[in-house]
Amino acid sequence: MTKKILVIDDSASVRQQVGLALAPIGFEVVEAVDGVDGLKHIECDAQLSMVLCDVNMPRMNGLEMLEKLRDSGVRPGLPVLMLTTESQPALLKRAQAAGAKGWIVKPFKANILVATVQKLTA
Amino acid sequence: MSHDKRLDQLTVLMSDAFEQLVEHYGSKLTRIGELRGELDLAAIIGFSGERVSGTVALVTSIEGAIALRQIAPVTESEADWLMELSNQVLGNLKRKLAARAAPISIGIPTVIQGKRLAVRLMVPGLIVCTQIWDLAGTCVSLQLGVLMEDDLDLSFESHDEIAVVEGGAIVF
Repeated sequence: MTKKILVIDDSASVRQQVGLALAPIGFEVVEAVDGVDGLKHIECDAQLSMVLCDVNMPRMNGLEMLEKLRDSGVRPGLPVLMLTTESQPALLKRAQAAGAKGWIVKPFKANILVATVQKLTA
Repeated sequence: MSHDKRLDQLTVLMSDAFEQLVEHYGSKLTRIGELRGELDLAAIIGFSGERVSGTVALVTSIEGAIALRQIAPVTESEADWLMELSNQVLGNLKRKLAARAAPISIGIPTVIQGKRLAVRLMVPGLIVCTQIWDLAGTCVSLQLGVLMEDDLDLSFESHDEIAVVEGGAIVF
């Protein structure tokens, strides 16, 4: 059965690259362009199996979105994996505290992305 | 420490960041001495920290942007990919600076496009340098404008401030 994953990134190129990596293992990728757009998708789409989220984005960054999602109580079990150029320990701790399940540093390797997504959606 | 020494150190870190990024995508940059042809596209991204702050511009021609696009498996457009590459260069540079006790925050990139583009960074005290590469016969450049603390020394390296390496993953 196809699983649906939401990719939140302000770069359309990154969203497409993630889609290209995950399509062969049966994921349908839906896209959002920033944290505001991402939150709307999560609130409206009960079929999502997972969220992949950038950190630095206009309007609302990924960590703010994650904290708003946690505070709202919407989809508490939905796994969120951060995919970002950032790698500061303080940011990882903040993401973990807000409920993120993992962190990947860009530029990503397709095999590592696939393995991590499979692990978090198993 | 002299301005030249600090700028040399920062320029090496920035250049390494860009060369490593292009290598990650399976291509290779070759350093050249002079800009060739016209520049049409620039992705500009700012960074700020207590010890060092500035702007990096990834500047190239349409042909250079197409060559950069071809290193990735799929991209939306030359402009979108140039912005993302500038973001990834700064992400790498941020890790290198954090490892040298000079943490920075990075901004959101923007792209400008125009015929015979000239990017000139003008802030009092700003030190500017340009590094130029050949990629598949095209010209790609990084322009760095930077303000630095007088005693900034980027020669010492520690990895305490890096939680995950590039391309790596951690599951909480």
